[in-house]
Amino acid sequence: MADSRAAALLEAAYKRGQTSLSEYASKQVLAAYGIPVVREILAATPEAAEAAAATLGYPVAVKACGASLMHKSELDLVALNVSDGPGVRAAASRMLATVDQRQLEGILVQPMVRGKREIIVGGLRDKQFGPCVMLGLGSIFVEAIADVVFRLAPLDARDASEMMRELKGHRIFEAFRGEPPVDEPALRDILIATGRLLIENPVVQEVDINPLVLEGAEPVAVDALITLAAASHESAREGGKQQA
Amino acid sequence: MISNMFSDSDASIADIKHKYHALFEPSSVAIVGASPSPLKWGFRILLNTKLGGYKGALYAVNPKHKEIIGIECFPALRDIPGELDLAVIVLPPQFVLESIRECAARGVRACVVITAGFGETKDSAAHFSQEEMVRIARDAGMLLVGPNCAGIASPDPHSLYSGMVYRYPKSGGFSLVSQSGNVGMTVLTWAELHQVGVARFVSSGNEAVLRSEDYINFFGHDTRTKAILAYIEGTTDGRRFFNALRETAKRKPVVVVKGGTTSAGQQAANSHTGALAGPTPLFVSACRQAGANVAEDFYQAMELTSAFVNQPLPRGRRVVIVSEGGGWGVIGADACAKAGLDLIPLPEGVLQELDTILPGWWSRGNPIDLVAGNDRTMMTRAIECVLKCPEVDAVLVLGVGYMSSRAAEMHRVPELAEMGMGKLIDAACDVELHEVRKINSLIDLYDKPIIVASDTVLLAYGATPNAAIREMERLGVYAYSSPHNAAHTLENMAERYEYLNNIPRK
Repeated sequence: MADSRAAALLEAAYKRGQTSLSEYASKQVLAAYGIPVVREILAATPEAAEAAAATLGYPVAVKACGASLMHKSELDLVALNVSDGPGVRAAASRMLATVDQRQLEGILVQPMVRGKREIIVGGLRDKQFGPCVMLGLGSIFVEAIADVVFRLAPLDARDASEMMRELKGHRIFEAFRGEPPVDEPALRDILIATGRLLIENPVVQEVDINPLVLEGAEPVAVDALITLAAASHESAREGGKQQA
Repeated sequence: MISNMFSDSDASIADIKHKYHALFEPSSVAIVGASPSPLKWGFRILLNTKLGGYKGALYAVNPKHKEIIGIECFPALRDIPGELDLAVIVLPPQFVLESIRECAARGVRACVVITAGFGETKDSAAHFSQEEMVRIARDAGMLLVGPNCAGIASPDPHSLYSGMVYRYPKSGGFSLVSQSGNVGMTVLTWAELHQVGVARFVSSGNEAVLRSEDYINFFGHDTRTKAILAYIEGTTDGRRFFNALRETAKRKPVVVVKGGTTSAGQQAANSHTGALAGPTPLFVSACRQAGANVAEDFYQAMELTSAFVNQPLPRGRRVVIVSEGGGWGVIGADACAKAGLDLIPLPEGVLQELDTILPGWWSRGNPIDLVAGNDRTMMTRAIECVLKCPEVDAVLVLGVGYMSSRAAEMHRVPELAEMGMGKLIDAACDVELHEVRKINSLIDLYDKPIIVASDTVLLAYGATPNAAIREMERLGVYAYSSPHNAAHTLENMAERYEYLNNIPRK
């Protein structure tokens, strides 16, 4: 059954003609599907961002957040490991000054997630196979290593378990460099939910959870991006006209 | 309309069988475009069908001739008396559409279009012709294979081998759909050489009407097919392929080889069949999810499919190696470890029993090294000792047929013949023949696989044939030429067992 909160978020973005959701909205959709996401607060001002950081606990990540802001690191719109209030205010002020206000939903503040292992979970619509779920080793070497595995949605529990086993680097899911073995049922549920998200929301073109950090045994979505079907522009506008 | 779902209802299965029997079990076949020139495919395909010993009514169609290599030749399809099940079309491309129209008008039930020059080209008129072909076949409810294909084979029941492939393997449970006629030729050559029995072969060509998944679906319901091999370069509708594969793999083993896995290979595939080779990791993942076994190499794929036909599945990954020599035992142990198989320590009871069978200096471990003993019955006694053990799922035997191999050499020594040793040598060979038959019977007795690899297979089909290897393969126990390929088969058989029993595979 489609999640109504996620459907409402996606529907609204689709009707506005967006081609993607912001990081914050993407994670709200994921959370609605039961996928664990990092705690985060969207702040409107540098002061609100500082208050959010105090609530979440230092050190924090400060990010400019908006649906059209894609390559945030390259644009210097991400500050990591910020350890105090003045730092948060300075980062937030800088971002508010550089980014066009119409592009900005707010300043996103998150606690830094500690975990030695990063993986990627993705969802896509393939021309041949339809909705598919991907699991891969992350994060910055993902393209060089290309250790990825797919399953067609919907996935059952065995499909999800086999995805983990099928990765060449499957050993990172075992006890690894002082870290406990991954919470397998939790990761399995994330893979299954990603497939469900695609099937239940035809407007979703791709889902990219990168990185999904293993915080000890527990997988947590730290960054995420949901893109919408390219055709959504036209149909959204036409839909709007008909209603008007 | 091609349906995306593969229905399991009894009526639809009966319908599928009826339709495909026109293709694989036709009572009458016409080769349209038959020619008396040995340089033309129109001659070769007629010849191949004749040499294959087709038992039904065989006709040639060519207005210029009355008879070709003893086969009656008619001016047109409509001149052939009685019903006609199958037409194999080898005409130049410009005459193909008209011929298919005649087939439809005459009520021919199935058509194999060998001729190339349609959807695989970049020519829009050729694409249009292929579309027209599809329309005619669908309107007439006629099966259509190809175009641009190498033909079909079905040894049983009518000894039908009709196409470009001139190999005539015996009948058995191995069925093949290949998107390449070239690869089809390789598989049938290999099957003939190793006495592997074939149920059905189809070269699917451009797949204008019937696609790989349609044949796979039929093979799944076909009583003659025991295991399926599919050589795939690309799919037209991946989801439909996936659905057919998943339904079929529940019932029968399906081995998939994907061609075009590298970008270079993919370019060749595109220009070759006009198929769109999808992104390989996704395709491979989909095949595994559907319950198929994926092989990278097509020799490994053939060997695995043949093992699926002839051997029971191991009920786990616990393997014991019985080896004639040290080196192969070591390589075999490495191969098993790499394949995720468990080379288990021998249980105490097995050790004690083996002490009574093997020489006192034997290795007392797994691999079991037979230390080149002279008693030819030692190997099968050792195999039975481990095979009957409940903690063992499969036995890998390395080195068979050495007596037969040596006998050929010994018979070349006149002094031995003068001494009357010929009969002794033959008697030793008979013991070995008896032993390979014993290996085959142990498989049935304990319902566990015995996989055999031996270097003697390399010359088994040469100038001095190895009687033991040939006998073993005649019985359906294939002889691998390397421990790695043998371990690959065992690994995949274990995966199939795990899949069927809902155990997550590696």
